[in-house]
Amino acid sequence: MTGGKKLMKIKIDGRELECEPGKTVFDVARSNGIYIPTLCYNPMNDSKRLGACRLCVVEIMEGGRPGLQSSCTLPVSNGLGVSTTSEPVFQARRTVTELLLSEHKLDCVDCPKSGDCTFVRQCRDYDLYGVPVCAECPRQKDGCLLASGILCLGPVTYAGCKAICTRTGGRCTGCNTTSVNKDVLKFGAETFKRFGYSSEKVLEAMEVFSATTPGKEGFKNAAKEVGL
Amino acid sequence: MTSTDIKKKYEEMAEAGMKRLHPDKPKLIFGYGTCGLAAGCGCLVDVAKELKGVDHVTSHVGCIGLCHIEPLVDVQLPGMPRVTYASVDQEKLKVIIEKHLKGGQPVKELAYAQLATELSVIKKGAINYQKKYDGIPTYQELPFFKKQMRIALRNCGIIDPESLEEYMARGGYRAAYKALHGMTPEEVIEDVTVSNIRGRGGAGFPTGTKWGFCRGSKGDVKYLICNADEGDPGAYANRAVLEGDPHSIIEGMVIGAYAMGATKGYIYVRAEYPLAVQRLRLAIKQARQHCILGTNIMGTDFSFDISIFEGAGAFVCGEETALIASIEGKRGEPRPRPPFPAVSGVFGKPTNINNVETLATIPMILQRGGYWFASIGTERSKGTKVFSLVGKIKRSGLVEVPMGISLGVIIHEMGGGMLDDKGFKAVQTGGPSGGCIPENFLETEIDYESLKKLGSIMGSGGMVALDEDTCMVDVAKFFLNFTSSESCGKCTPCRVGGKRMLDILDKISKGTGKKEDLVTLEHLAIQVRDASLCALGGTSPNPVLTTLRYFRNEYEEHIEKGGCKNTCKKRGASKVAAPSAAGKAPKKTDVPKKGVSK
Repeated sequence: MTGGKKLMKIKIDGRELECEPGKTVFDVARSNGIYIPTLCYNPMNDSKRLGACRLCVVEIMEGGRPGLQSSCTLPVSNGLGVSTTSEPVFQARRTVTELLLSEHKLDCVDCPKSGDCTFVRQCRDYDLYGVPVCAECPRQKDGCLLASGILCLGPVTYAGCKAICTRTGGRCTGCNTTSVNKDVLKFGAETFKRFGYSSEKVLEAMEVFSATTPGKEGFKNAAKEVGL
Repeated sequence: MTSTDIKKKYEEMAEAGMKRLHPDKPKLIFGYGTCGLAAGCGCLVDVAKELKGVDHVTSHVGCIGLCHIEPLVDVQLPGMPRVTYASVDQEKLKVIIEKHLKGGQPVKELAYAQLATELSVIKKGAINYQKKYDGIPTYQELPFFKKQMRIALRNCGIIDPESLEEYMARGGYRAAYKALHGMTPEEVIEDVTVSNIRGRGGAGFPTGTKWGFCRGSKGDVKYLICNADEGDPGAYANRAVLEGDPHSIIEGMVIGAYAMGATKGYIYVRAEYPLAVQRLRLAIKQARQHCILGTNIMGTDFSFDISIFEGAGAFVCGEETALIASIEGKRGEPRPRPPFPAVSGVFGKPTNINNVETLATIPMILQRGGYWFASIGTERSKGTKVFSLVGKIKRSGLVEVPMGISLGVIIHEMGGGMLDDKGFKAVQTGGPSGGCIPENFLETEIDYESLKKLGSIMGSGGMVALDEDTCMVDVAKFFLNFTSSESCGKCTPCRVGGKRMLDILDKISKGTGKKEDLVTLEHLAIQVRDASLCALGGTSPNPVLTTLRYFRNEYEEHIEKGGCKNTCKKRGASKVAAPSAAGKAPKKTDVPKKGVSK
């Protein structure tokens, strides 16, 4: 590598890695194929590392003060050992995602990132069902099946299937069952209302996969609330 | 000027100060800190100005710590101890002037205490009167002062903060002179390291080690910053030093700058302390006039100068990296460490940040030696700590006690117990970032480690005493509300996590919470503590976590019964009682509109 500079040895998840001094744990992990999620890191503005989103936290196991640190600002040092998969790391990342979701405006039908959204991927990785199938669906406002008169259950169904049906031309049949998340149900009811569907029709379509789920009851309440 | 000239000049100034401290005329002394002024000391000064017919001098001093009985007026006759009169109003002042200042006899029924012997640890310029008045307790006999050991507050309430001579009369700038003329920087750091003093801002990092880091890092310019951004609700220990003894901070900074090789200093003081800013400005001006700041300090080739930076009132700017950003003119947001300020601080240069109390203590460590300081306190926490006692306590005020004293002694002996003789419930130490400690831990010896074990922190020394009527859910909500509104919003856990915790607490205190909420709250609090970027987010869940740990039953009571028997109940009762009391003919003004329609 660059001549003269002494290489450093660090451990990520037990793997011994060699790296140049001055790099951060995040850089080393990425260049060695270890995935660390992030939302605030911008490769176009590499000099400014905020350490603000706290998604890239890793747990320091040896060679530093034990605890969680953001890997994008943690410089490598000899003998440093970190874990990217420990329980505290998982919990912290999950909480951060959940907190971001709690402030998130659900508008997946109109969102240009629909179908290729880092945040949705993040939610999926951490088992957070706060987003509907629409968030994963690559069809946007104009291409939405609901606009062309096809009753797609995407707006009220749990995400996580990567919207395979709508991606391949079909409609969402709700096979992942109806979400119980109030925000999702409210978003769904509003979307159906916007495209002019009645609540009876939607509930009828739900019979196939969600006949006895709490999500159906939840949807009834949400429909009442928004006046569907 | 050569160094011998300077030494001679300082001796002369000290002598002049001694004459100012103990004049051969009757002396009228006003407690002129913010606490005294708020209690109405300004009017008393006006009354005294119109005083005629007696040859006397007037002096304004800082806060001595007895904030619960302000305004304080003292009378000191030549050769006799200073007699303190408490809670003085205009009528009382006239009597005091008539009988004591003019008549020469203290008014025993009004007198609170007499200051016959030195309160603090200083030796040079210590107060020591052979004579004493009968029938008036001395300061040392008062329970409030009995167990105090004053190092940082050595001059507060004793000297006029606007007089450099009086500070010098009590041994001021001797430590700085000794360091600059007789010690190498390494020796100074060695002495501070031996004393084992730990940062008084709350985190408790050893100051000597910190100075060593800064000394060791390379840089053409180094900065030394005094952190006087005291923003905790209920803490005012730093304000007392800033207002009552500004020169002690400057002396500490000169010593620190010499030890680290810093050439530029900042005092980051909050703009809400106008009196402190005014007195600091004057002190810096005086120091510059007398070769204490500027180029070639005290005849050596060492140069150092201090500027004042007024903070705009953001709580997060007390965090050192946010403080640095603020001084640089940027938005006051913390940044991740490393790089530590000792390597890259203000404008990318090596920077050291110390708290007011730490810097005010440094001169005494150099004067009496590190080993002397290390002999005070517990094994791991040395020296003394200033606590500001507030809340539902009989004697609120400032106390400086050796580390290792128990919480119970401070609350029950010095503070005199709870107001209206109510039962004690908990004490919140360390401000909004600290935790509530219940009664069964009152015997704990105070030091950094023991408080941390209890889930609290030392913090800046705020101590809010809570009586039995306090609702702990309300307390947690209050402190969390403060920290979440003071969050800078940079990192997710602190910005959103605080809000969500507040939502849950709101639900619980309104009585609509569920049992699962407690689990969620605890989980969220732990995550926010562990994942936040800076200490503000990392410590903000402490009030929630400690109240959940020690007062879980109160949370459960709220959930099960929709309220608790404490302050909540009173509020709830008034709501319920209003319609029934006015059952026959409800007045619209009495009941909220919603209540009427239902």
